[in-house]
Amino acid sequence: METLSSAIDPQSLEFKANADHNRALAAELRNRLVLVRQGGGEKYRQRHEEQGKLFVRERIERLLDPGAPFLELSPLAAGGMYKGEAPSAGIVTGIGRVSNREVMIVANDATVKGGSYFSMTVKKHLRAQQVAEENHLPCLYLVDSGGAFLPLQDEVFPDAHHFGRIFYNQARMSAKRIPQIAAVMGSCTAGGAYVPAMSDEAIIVKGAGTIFLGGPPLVKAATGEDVTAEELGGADVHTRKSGVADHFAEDDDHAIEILRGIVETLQHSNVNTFLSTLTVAPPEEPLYNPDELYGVLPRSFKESYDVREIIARLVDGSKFREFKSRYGTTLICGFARIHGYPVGIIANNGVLFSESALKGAHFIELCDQRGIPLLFLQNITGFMVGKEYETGGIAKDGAKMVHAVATTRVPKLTLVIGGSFGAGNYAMAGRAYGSRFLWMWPNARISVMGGEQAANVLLTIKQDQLVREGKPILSAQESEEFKRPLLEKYETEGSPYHSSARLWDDGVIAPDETRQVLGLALSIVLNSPQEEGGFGVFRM
Amino acid sequence: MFKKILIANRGEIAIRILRACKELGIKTVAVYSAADVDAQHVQLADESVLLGEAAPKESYLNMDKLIAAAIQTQADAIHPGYGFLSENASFAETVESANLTFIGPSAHSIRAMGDKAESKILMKQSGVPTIPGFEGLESDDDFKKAAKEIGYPVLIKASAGGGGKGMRVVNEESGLSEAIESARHEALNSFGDERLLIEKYLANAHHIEFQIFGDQHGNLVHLFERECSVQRRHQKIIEETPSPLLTPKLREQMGQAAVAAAKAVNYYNAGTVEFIFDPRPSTFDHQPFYFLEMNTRLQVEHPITELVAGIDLVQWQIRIAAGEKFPFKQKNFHQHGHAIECRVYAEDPANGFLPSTGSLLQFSEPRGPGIRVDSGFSTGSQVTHFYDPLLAKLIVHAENREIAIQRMKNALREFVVHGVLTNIDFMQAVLSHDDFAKGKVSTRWVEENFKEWNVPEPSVDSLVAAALADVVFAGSKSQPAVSNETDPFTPWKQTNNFRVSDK
Amino acid sequence: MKITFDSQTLEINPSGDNYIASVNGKIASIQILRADALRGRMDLLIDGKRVTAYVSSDMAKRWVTINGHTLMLTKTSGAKQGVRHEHAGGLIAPMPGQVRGVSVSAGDVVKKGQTLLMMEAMKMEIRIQALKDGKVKAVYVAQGQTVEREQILIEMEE
Repeated sequence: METLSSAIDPQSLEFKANADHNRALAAELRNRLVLVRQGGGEKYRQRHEEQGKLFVRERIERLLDPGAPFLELSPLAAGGMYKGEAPSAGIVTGIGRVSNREVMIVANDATVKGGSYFSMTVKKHLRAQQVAEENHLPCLYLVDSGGAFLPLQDEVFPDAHHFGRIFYNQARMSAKRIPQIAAVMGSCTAGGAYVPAMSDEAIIVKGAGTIFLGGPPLVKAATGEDVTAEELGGADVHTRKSGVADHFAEDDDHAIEILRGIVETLQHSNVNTFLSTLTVAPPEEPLYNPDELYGVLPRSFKESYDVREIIARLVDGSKFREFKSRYGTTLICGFARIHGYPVGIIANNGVLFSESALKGAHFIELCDQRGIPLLFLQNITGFMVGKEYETGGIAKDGAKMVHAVATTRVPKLTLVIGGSFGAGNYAMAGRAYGSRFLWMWPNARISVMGGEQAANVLLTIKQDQLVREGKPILSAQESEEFKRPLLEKYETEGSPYHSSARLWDDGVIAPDETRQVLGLALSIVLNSPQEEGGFGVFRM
Repeated sequence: MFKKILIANRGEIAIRILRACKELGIKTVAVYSAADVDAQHVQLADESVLLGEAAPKESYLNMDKLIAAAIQTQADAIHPGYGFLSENASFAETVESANLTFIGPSAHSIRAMGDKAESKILMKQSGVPTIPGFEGLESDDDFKKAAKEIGYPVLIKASAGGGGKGMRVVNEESGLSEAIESARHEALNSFGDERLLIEKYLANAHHIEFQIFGDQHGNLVHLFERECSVQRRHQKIIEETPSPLLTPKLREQMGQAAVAAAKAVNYYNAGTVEFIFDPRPSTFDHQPFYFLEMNTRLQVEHPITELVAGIDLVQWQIRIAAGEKFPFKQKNFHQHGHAIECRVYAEDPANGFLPSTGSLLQFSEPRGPGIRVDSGFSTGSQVTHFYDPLLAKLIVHAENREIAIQRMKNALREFVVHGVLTNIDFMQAVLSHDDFAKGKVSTRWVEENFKEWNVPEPSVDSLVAAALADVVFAGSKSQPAVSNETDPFTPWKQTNNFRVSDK
Repeated sequence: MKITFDSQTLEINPSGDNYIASVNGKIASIQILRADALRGRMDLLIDGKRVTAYVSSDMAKRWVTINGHTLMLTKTSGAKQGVRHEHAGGLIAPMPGQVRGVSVSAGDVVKKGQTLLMMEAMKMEIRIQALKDGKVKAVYVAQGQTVEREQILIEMEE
């Protein structure tokens, strides 16, 4: 396989200026993560611990195998939403290794509004279940939640992808032989009661864990009966009398021990996985230090650079077998390995032309045929515009690539390394295209088009309207005034943190840890069963 | 005797000190910064305290944190090592006022020797030869007169200065006026102070220093010289003792001058008096040596004195600080054999000796009779830009200079350091030079003779070895080489505690 | 297998239990006597001569110690630059746009990676850079000029 060569000079001023800029962005990411990892704050943590309960992240740490990685999903969910009162949306989700088995962990953070569900909490819980289902990962629920956040019930209760979907997913996954295990480590009220009830096996912690459809206040109101939470739905009741839970745990640590024991007994089916038809090679570090990614990335989207410089710093041995390197050169396609796993890479290197899109579609077909997973490196302003290109049929060529992306049976991973604008987002496996994982770098931007372009389009429409109405058109200064709020709106909404808060991605990750994240993710997707598939009609 | 000592330093010197403590049955407290969490001195100590961030002012230079650490661990003394706070008089005072013992000289001695101009005057008064020179001159004529008295060549430099700014060497009277004018200009620009001083310029100067040692009961001896002329960027890299240049008579004279210098500030504990030595005194007073400055602490290069004088300086530092009497007299000391120290630095000798940082992929120290290595690193250690890039001190002791040089060359060849660039090859070249064998090495010698030094072109053997390593060792680092598992290399088996952006 | 370190390319291939290497026309036969992965130590017989080498690797860097001397080598690809905006010795416009600035003229000696021309297209600044060290033969466009896709912008001397 060919080795990429770099034209970058790490001693240049340009490189250093880029590195400073991009490292500052990565530092901002770290700072945001440090904050959300505190949960609901000192006061609530103290109260939580006084009840003899472990903090949600501590529960996860103790559950994981010693030293094992934890690939957390969307830790910055709900950032800036709900008056900033729901760090991580009050739920921690992610993939970790428990008893030598990769599992999906879904754990409520009771220090955030008692672990109750906001709309983003529901979305994050459902996303974790989706990742688990697609990748056949056993689900471990560490439950400690008061159920739906009542003041915002219309955003969490009734719709198809609201609260009820959690239990629907549990049932469907269980039917697909994807184990569902719950440990009740706090309250589990009303709808929440169904999490353990719908699980294959459930553990409940003495004193802290309670399961009931209606809590003591509701019971009092409904029937006048005076009852304590423990009497109503404590560990003793449920493991001895009701049978709602199966295992009685003395405390959080005991529950974790039982949980690890259960995972040990789960059967691992690795027949017909993607990996069973591929070979893995011993992993190799890239020839070029991934740290240099900070200096390779320019400081603004206006500057172009060769995306092979990025690839050279992500893949094993910086080795990359490029496909159709002389054709449709604004889209780079080729094969490489990451952590020893084969991967087909599709990376933007400029605006998409018809040929680029055709090349992309062709390459996706290749990977599909060979069962090789796809990695999209998104940095796309869109498809080429103009009369020549429209008459050339760029729309139908773009559609071919979008079609291939949508229908391929091989797992897709998407990493937004720069801009993600317009139809380019679709062709490059944006969120709507079912990538198994989608991450953004801290420098990424996402919107339907660039803010400047959008403002200009709207300005043109406005001026046309004024002309039609026989009114004077806006002056240069008025035009700027007209555009400013739009530019500001696009600036805010284009931020990767705006995206991550709304679960448009699975997290913002730093360039220098990307290889690690991709390796973990490739292992997950390649160990999932292959599915049947096929392409539909390509418009020729 | 002390029960517990806090060592306010890091790296090899911290380890050197804690070994001495252990030998004396004293418990040790290591301090460390965030960059040194896995450092050896932390692992070897009985207790350790994290001071703060990597930057020295947050950690090893932070007096408050050091004192707090000593109080918290109930240490009764602090050893400052060298560098950092070792020559900081107010630190010595702060330590004492916290009812702890500072292992070193009195704050008074440190302060008196810390002011270079004041100490020069004090030395003159005590009859220690100082470099002839004049300060406070105004007119060109005054300078001319002074220069004539001192004898050419002379050095004109900024009174306020340092770092070579505003320095001019003048060889004869005709160049004097111009040099004064330009030096003044530069001094004014650099320091905002145009005052100049004139002193004798020693073209061929050697750096020779004397170890002195005393107790708090008035006993004071010198422990002979160290020749430290092999320097790069004004820092010593190779030191030896005895100096190949000194006659017994000169040694005695300089030793006495060193003791006199120390007595002038009521010195106790270990210290070093540095001299500029001119092997060919030709002008003025035919004086071959002049007082340069006194270092009021343990020196980096103390081991060569330990080997040749036969005394454990660090143990005695501690015993004297505890109030013990030093039982030896000058006549008890003799020089046994010859010792050389090479300072192994993580640096690039082919590129201005710039520090080199990274992770040590291999760190294999030489061993054998007469070889001592003082180091604080091992394979896997990180060399960061926060601290001095000294990796190790390689010290040899042999019956004479010739054998010592040979022993050092062999030891350097056995020293394998991978992961950072080092000066090991460079020092081999220095030791192999004829001038070094003859002892004709002035402080400017490295600069003059090794400017063009570079690493050799890779040999066929080295290319072959590098290429074969890729074939032979491939995959052996990431454990399971061959396995019938379908996913033998899964990154999920790592035990690196990976968490997204959690650093 | 071809491996390039810094500017030296070496070809090394197995031959029975041994290896044959060639560098700059010199050929050597190598036998591996012993290899200790933990210490990175290899005992080799190179053309009958016994050589002990210590080798460590960190990404592209290789540290090699032989006979007390240590070298740091950097593994490079040795590969020719990929086909980037290149067309028969010339540098071409990757997309239609406008030339924003030309920083060289015919006869200039340029370094690999040096920016020769800047163009703007679809709101992107595109730098046209030298693919290798060389001399500019001709510049066909000027600042402000609109160029078509694949139009030759600059030609380099062969």
